[in-house]
Amino acid sequence: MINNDAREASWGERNVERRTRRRWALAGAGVATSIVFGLAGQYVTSVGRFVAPVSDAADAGSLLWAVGLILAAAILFRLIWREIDEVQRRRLVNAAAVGGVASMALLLLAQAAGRMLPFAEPMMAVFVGAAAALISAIIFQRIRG
Amino acid sequence: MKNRLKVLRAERNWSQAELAGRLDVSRQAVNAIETGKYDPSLPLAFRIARLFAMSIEEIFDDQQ
Repeated sequence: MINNDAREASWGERNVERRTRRRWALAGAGVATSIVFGLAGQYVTSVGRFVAPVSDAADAGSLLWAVGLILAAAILFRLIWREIDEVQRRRLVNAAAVGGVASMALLLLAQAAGRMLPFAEPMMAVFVGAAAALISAIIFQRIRG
Repeated sequence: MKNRLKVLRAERNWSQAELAGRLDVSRQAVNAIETGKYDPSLPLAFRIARLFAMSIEEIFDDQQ
């Protein structure tokens, strides 16, 4: 009876633990996806280009990689969106807005001064910069509470 | 918007995690609402009111 009462009294905390476990699993899937596509990206943008610098196969590989990355990101985003609550959703939308504005600003910079910047692939630098801005915005909001 | 969530939670001796689990939201959400950094949506405000068996007006005060 006492055990049942204790269980009844803390069912909310167990619910939170379940949610936390699911969120960690999704975070793990996100990290695994980033590693897989990061390695594949290295191949299609450098190793593959070294083997076949200008070829239809190399271009098709890059295109497949980009489409796969977008699809994986969309699926992960959908799963995460279903899992999180309204406060976290608002923070995610804020962070996505920061990432979008950052990509627009960085794209302008890359277009105007791409050749002066020390990057072999200015567009990839824009992508990485926008992703960094998005992740920074998530972390900043999390720290602020 | 001010609210009495922290007081009501303390009266029941619930942690933020316990309240979050009962409302099916994250602990971050409870903390953001308690500190006034986030005003809950109407459906969540109703869930909070039902959990404490009170009206929304008894928990939330829109007078600044």
